[in-house]
Amino acid sequence: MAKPILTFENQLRIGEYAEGYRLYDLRCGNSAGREIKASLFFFLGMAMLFMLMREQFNILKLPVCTIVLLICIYMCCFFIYILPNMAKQRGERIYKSSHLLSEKYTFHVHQDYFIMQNEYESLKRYYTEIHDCIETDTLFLLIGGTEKKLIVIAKRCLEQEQCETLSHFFRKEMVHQYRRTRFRRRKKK
Amino acid sequence: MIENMQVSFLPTESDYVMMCLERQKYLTPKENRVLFPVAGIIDIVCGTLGMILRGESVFEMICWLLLIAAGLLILSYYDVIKPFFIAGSAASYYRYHQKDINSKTICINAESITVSDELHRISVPREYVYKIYQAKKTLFIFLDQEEFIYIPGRVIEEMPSLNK
Repeated sequence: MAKPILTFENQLRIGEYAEGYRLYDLRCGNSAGREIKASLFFFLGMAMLFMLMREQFNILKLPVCTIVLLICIYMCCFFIYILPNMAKQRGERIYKSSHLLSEKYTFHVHQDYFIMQNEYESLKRYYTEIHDCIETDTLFLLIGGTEKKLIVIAKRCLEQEQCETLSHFFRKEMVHQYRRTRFRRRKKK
Repeated sequence: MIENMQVSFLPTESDYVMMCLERQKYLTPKENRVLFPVAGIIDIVCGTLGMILRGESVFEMICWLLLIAAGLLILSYYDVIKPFFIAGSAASYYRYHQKDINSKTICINAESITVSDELHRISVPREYVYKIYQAKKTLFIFLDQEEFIYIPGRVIEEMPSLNK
C-alpha cells in the first residue's frame, strides 16, 4: 500500500458533530432549499397583507387573511431559524445515541482515497464517492457514499500545518465538491 | 432472545426500495398515521355536504370539488403518495449508485455484530447497537438514531426474533 499523504487522529465532541450535522442538513437534508420555501411563504404573506390593506372591512376576509398572514410569518421563521436549530438538536441526539461517534479515529489520507479506522470500524472512501466537501473555521465535512454519509473532521485535532495541508489537498483533489463557508473578516485598524 | 446468524448478500434494487419504504414507515410518527386519514375523511365529508347543500354556482362547485380532492390527497398521503415518491427516488438512487453498492457479509452472535464489505468493516459489541427493528421484509440494525445496517428479508429464511 502506498504511503499516506497525511495521518492524524480525530475525536469528535458533541458540539462539533452537531454543527457538522446542521451543515449537512442544510446542504442535503430536510433544511435543503429552505430559502425557496421561506420566500414562497413570504410572498404569500405579502399578498395577504396587500389584500388586508386594499380591501374594505369584510367580516369573512379579514380573519382569513389575518390567519394566513400569521401562518406565513410562522413558516418563514420555521424555515429560517427553527429548522436549522432542530437539525442541530437532532445531531446532538444522534451523537448521544451512538457509541462510535465519540471514539477516536485514525485517518490515513491517500491520493485517491482516505481510510478512517479504529478498534471497531474501518472505512475506505474514494474521493469520487464524495459529493460535498465543506470547510468551516473549525471543521471539515465530507458528505457522500452510500453509508456513513457524513464524516466530520475537527480542526482542533490537527496541527496548523496539517490543517493547511489537508485544506489545500481537498481543494486540489475535489475541485467541484469543495467549498469554503463564508465568514466575516474583521477589518484591520 | 439472541440467535446466531451469518448472511451474505448483494442488495438488489427491490431490496433497496423495500428498505426505504419500511424505514419511512418506521420513522413516521404513529399519530400522523391516524390523524391524516381522519383529517382527510372530514375534508371529504365537508366537501360533499357543501357540494350538495351549497353548490349553487359553477365557481362554488369547483371550490367544493377542490376541497374533496384535497381530502383525498390527505387521506392517501402516507399510504399511496409518499410511498410512491419514496419508491421512485430510491430506485433512481440505486441505479445511479449501483457501482458503489457492494455485497455485504453480516455475522450476528451473542457478543458482537460484524458487518463487512469491500470498503467498510464494522465489528461492535452487542451493547453498542442502539436498536434492532424487525419490519415485514427487512431487518434493521441501528447503530445510532440515523446510521443503520439492513438485511433484506429474502436472505433470511426464517426471520429470527432478535431483541437487544
